[in-house]
Amino acid sequence: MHPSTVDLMRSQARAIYQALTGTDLPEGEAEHSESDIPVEEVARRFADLEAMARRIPSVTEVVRCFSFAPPLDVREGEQQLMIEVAIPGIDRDDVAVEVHEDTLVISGVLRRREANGSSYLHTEIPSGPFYRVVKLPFPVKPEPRLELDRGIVVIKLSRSPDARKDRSAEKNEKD
Amino acid sequence: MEQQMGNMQRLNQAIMAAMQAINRSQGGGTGTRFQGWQGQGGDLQSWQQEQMAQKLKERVREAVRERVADEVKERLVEAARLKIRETLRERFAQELRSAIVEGQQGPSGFDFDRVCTVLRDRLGDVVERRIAEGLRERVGEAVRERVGEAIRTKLSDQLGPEDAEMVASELKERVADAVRNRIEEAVRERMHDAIRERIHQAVRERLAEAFQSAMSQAQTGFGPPDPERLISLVSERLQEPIGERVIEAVKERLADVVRDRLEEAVRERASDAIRPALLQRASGGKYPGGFDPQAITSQLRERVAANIRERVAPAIRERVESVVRDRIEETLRDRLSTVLRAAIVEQISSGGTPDPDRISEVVHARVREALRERLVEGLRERIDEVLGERLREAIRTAVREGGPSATFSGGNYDVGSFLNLQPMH
Repeated sequence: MHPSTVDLMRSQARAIYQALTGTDLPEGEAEHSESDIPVEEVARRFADLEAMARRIPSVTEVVRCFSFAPPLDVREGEQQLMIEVAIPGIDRDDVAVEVHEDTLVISGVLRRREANGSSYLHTEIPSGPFYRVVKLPFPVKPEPRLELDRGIVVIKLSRSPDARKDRSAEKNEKD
Repeated sequence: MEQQMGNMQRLNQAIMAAMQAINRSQGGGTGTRFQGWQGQGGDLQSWQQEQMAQKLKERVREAVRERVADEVKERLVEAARLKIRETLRERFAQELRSAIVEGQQGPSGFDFDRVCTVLRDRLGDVVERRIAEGLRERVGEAVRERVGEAIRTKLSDQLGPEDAEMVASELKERVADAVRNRIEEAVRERMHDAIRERIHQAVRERLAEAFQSAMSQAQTGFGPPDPERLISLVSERLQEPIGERVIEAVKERLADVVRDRLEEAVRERASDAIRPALLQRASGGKYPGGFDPQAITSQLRERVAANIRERVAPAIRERVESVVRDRIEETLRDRLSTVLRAAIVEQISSGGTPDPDRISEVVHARVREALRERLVEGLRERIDEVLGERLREAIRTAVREGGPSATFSGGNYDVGSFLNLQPMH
């Protein structure tokens, strides 16, 4: 598990704790600690915690969901496929895009904005890790280009030469 | 590495502290309830059990709302109708006589309104009491029958027939008791005024006409008609319309009374009926809320692995042997002569004498390529076949037959969809 994900999960647990108790989580609050705990087990516990916390209105009011799925549009152009993902507030370095055969995986982290001495009364804007998988409609070159345009992550994927041939053939047939 | 472990431990501690806070916020005391995930009876387990109890409770409520209230109401309307008729038959003449006597005692002679009011009050009391009695007598039986059946049907896909039966039989008794104890109060609250109002209406509308017609009927000779005969004739004429009006009022209100009382009873009693069933399942290691995921995983892993070894491996071996044999034969038959001929011709055409080593090399390369293609293709097909046919069955059998299979029995998990594996490619 990436260290930054561990930090985010810890922040989330702290936020839940704070929402419930009104106080910051003191170090060593847990009644016992386990050594050599497997990562998968911690992840599972965290998922359980998040699920339980989501059922408590006083928590959901002030603590965002840990992860989210940003909305996206997919557009087909003559030479390329364009995927626009709405992640307002994202930094370019916090988005990762990978092409795996016929799927595109978009993942990353939208960092929580610091409350700066204030505390949330209500929160809806998503933050935390995100993950989307897009099924690609035709073969593309495995080098996605990324642009950030006013909170929209624009991913451009060029058609592979095969896809271009297919498209030309299709066009000819139509003509 | 050490730092990473430290981070994970800190994360784990934060998770556990947050979990303790959740416990405390839900009335779990001062943190003593939380026992982590390792122990039996850990809080996650009770949480899961609570979640399941809530779901079941909701399903019970749905079942009662959808299927019970209307049917119980229909049966109770019949019971009320019988009671109203019986009461009017037994008491109307007597109450009418008293009312007429009282009506004649007014300062200005016979007071028709007074008769109506007296009848309303006296009949109202007795009719209300008898309706409540009738409903009380019948509601238990009606609720027991309908609630039991509805809950059994609604929960059996989730709990399995045995546990659904257990919850149904427990709950139907509790709900029947609760509703029976409250139905009289409900009749008093919701029907008291309506019963009196309808009696009053019917009497006002029909009494004068009933008297006139009874008078003419009772006037069989000279002199005044026999008062008893008159009362009896009036009573006969009024019983039916009064009964109908009252039953209408009862019908209109009974649906709400039954629905509300049932909901109330289910809300209060469902948990008591559901929890024993869940605890029983949990203690038998059957219920998802009470399972130990690690123990189950490890048991299942052993059993599934053993089953795959026993059932899938031999089948793959068998098919692989045959496909290897067949494809080698096929490739040699189809390709060897061509490859040999091509290799020799190639050597001769290049001007030299045929070199056995060179020919061997060429033939080896070409045959190897052809064999590889055909074997890979054949093996993939056959392995897919075996995995499609045997793998799902091997896993399904292991999960169903193994100790932990009990965990999945009872319908809460659909083993079929759980194991709906696709052939591997």
